[in-house]
Amino acid sequence: MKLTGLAAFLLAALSSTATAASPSLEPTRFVLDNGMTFLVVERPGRPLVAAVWTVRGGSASDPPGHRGLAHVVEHLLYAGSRTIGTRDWEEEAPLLRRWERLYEQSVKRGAAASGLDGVEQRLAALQRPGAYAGVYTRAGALGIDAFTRHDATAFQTLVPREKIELWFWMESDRLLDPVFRGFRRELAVVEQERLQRIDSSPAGTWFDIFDAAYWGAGHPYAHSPGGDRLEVARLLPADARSHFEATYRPDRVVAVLVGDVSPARARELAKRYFGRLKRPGRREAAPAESAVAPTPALESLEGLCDCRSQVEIRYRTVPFAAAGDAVALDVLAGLLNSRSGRLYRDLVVGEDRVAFAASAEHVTRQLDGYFAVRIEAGEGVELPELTPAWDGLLERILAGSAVDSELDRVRRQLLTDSWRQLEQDAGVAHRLAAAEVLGGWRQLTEWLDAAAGVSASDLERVIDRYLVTADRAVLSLTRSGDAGR
Amino acid sequence: MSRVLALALLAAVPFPGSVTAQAIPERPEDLRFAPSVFEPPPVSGLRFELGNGLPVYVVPDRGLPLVDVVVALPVGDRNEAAGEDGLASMTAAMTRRGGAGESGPDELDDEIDALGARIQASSSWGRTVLVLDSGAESLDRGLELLASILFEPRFDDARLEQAKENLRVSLLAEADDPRAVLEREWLRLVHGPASPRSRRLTQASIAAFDRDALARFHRRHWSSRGAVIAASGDVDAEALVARLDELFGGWKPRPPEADAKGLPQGLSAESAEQAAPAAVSPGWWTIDRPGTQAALAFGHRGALFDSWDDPDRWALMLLTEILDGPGTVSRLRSRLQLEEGLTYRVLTHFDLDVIAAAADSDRNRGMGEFRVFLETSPESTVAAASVVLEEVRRLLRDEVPENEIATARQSLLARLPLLFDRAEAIAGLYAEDELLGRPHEYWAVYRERLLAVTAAAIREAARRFLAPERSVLLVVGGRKAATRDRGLDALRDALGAPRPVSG
Repeated sequence: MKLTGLAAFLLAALSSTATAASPSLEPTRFVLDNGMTFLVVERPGRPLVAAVWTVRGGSASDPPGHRGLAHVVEHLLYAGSRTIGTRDWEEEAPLLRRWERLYEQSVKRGAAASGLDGVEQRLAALQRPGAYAGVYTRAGALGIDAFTRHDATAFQTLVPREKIELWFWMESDRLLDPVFRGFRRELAVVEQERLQRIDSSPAGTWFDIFDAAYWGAGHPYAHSPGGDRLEVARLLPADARSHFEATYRPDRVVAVLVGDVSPARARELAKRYFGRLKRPGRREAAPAESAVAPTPALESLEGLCDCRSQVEIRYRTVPFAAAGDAVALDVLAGLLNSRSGRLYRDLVVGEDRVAFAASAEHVTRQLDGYFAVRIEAGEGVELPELTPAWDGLLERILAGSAVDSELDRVRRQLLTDSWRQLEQDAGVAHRLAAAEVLGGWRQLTEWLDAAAGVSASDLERVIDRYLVTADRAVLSLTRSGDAGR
Repeated sequence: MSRVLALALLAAVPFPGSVTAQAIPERPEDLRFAPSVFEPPPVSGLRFELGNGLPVYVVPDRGLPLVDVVVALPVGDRNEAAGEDGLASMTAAMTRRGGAGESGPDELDDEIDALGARIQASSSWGRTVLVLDSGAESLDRGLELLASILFEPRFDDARLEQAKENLRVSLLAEADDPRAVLEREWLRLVHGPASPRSRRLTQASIAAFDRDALARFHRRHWSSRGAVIAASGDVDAEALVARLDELFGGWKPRPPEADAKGLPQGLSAESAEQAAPAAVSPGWWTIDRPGTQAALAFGHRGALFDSWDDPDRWALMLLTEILDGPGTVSRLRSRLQLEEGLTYRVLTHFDLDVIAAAADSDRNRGMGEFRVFLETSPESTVAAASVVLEEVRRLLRDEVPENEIATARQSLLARLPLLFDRAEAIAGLYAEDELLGRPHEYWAVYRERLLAVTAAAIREAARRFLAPERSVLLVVGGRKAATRDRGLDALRDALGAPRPVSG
């Protein structure tokens, strides 16, 4: 299942200023007695309902020594329940307990405990891998996928509208009663996923290393959701269960349905199915979440890589917010990007061009954020030329040339983009869920309103305050083939 | 509600067979749903023609104040002459990036961005598309810019020079990318070095791109012949068609000079034979490469049919789904991922091309592939490849059990509504029918035809269109095969000993 950044979901906006002709896109919100929140956007006529639920908690809550745990649990939640994924639960249950004991011994000793393989074979005869997705696929559901991010984990399915009750059955079943089968195999798949992600982008490994150095050891964002290879390999089923119990509580879950389903029907089904989940007691502690993250370590790094020579310049900013400096920095990224933006004009196609490509991004998460500028070297350009080129561009912006017409352009693009993001039901569902988990879906519309109000002086202010040369970190990657030239 | 309570309620119902509204069944299979068969939306009323005969499909949808307009032309890499590698894509990209009409590149970008619109131009093997994505209130100006880009691109020299620099940088990076290396070499082994499918951008072909070459390609190949427009969103169909007619109704078809010369480069009358299930250089090939992951591709040329309604074609659609459909229940995913944890992802595709009586006739059709691609650890390539071989062979040997066919069929049918799920998709799909020469009725019979496919028909199609022993297995970055590797003997018997790819 894919790992993605949260920012992409949050930089999206639902439009509160859509024309009168647009359907109402305001979701119907209700909360069950156990604390589980639902948002429903009814869209008559769509054959499939985009169904997403998101739980607050992702890789940032991985405990020390267990980096990658949240992602492993996301995978294990596809292994079924007492009903799904087994040929005979009564027979499987004691064997599974025995397997877990032997496996734990093996991991602790660093050698396979005797009998482990035998039990595993007997289990294989009882278990039905893929049964969970199979039920959905046979019913015509699609897009069965999940995403572990830093602050949240999301599970999605596209369900034929007449079979929406199946989604309620399946999702409440695995939240009520998950069985973590195929533990060892799933660790291997998670490792394959990590390698594929890193291999698919030669710079990927370096960005992981840069993240670790930038945030500093022990920071919740210092590791990617993929985690650490050795720590993942040492995880035990008991670790996965305790993560599940602490995190996957109904009061931390938001479910969103977008499609041809009425809020009344959704509410009735939600009560019947998800109402079975126990309300957490007052004394059941939620997983530790630092309200204030430690200050990033902010280290610069240089390396060689099978990639285009490039730099990433990072400035520490603020956590996600739908107001103030956070939004001004989002707008600044918009001003820099796109074909009429400053990065393309000055660095990619201008007379003094240095870049193959250049982009800016304001990454904001629950605990902290940063502003990143990434520049890939153009033909014949040496790495040391890139950062000064960016500094020059920033000076020109500060010298008073953030023109009102540029801001008009960005506002217009943000508005049209916010409509575009409403076209895909699954995208709408993910955005609503992510925003609701982090403090309320209305932040999406508030963000757009705030963005419309950002002025040139706001941009100057945030550049002055955050894009400070002395306080930045730079990742410099030189293409291996160019080294020593 | 607890299960016990639910059962107690069930027992208390006085009429056997009826279920209380509140009961939660023991198993998901016990849920009962209203029957539903998806009917594709009718095409009637969606098709218009401009004064020059150019077909336009319009699907209004007033839900959001957005409009999409796509102009698609049956032009692409396949129209390149030898030595022109990459010219089709470069021409398309530079129509958008190099200025148009009165506007230089910067002015054009400024104006499009100020509208909050997007215009993109790109080209692939067999088509070139220009896409306008705009707010409804900016549509009129957006269409003018689209027409300007289509008809009067300036191919600005400075922008072209910058694009060439970037292409040269990309080409260097491609050599570093194991997937790009795998793709290029696999296609060369499958189609042969002389095939247009094996052509690749080189430093020499980049050097040959100049303003004249782009303008010549644009003049020679971009015409209204075989082109089609798809529009959707917040529009009035009649008004939009009238406006499109003003802008595009005078677009002339290209004289069929290319066709007069006969078939283009690289394709010959033996196209049917070319599509026979075999690779030009079958066998087990390797490319050494250090790294944490290895990648492999297995397969041969794709299939070629005379008709979209060929029974074998429907059977092969199901076969591909059974082997490796996107659900997790397919054979390759079950074995490689769920049972053995060897890979995170397998990707299989089977090109089932049709030579139809379309405007673009049979230009380089049948140049597709049957391919299984996967990534795994360097130690596991032999084991993973042998699973792929086994599963392909099993399709030739045994009939697929009915329940597996039913799941695959269900999975294919379930994806049908997605093809029609938004106005943009409907307009695009029906326009694509016209571009490909695929009858619209294809969608009306889709369900019925899939239901008619039997296990025997699938095995028969497998025997005719799959050739595991005449396939290419190319492994990039695998560890050297060792005798203890599971499946080594079977792989060697089928494909011979591994050989390094030369050059």
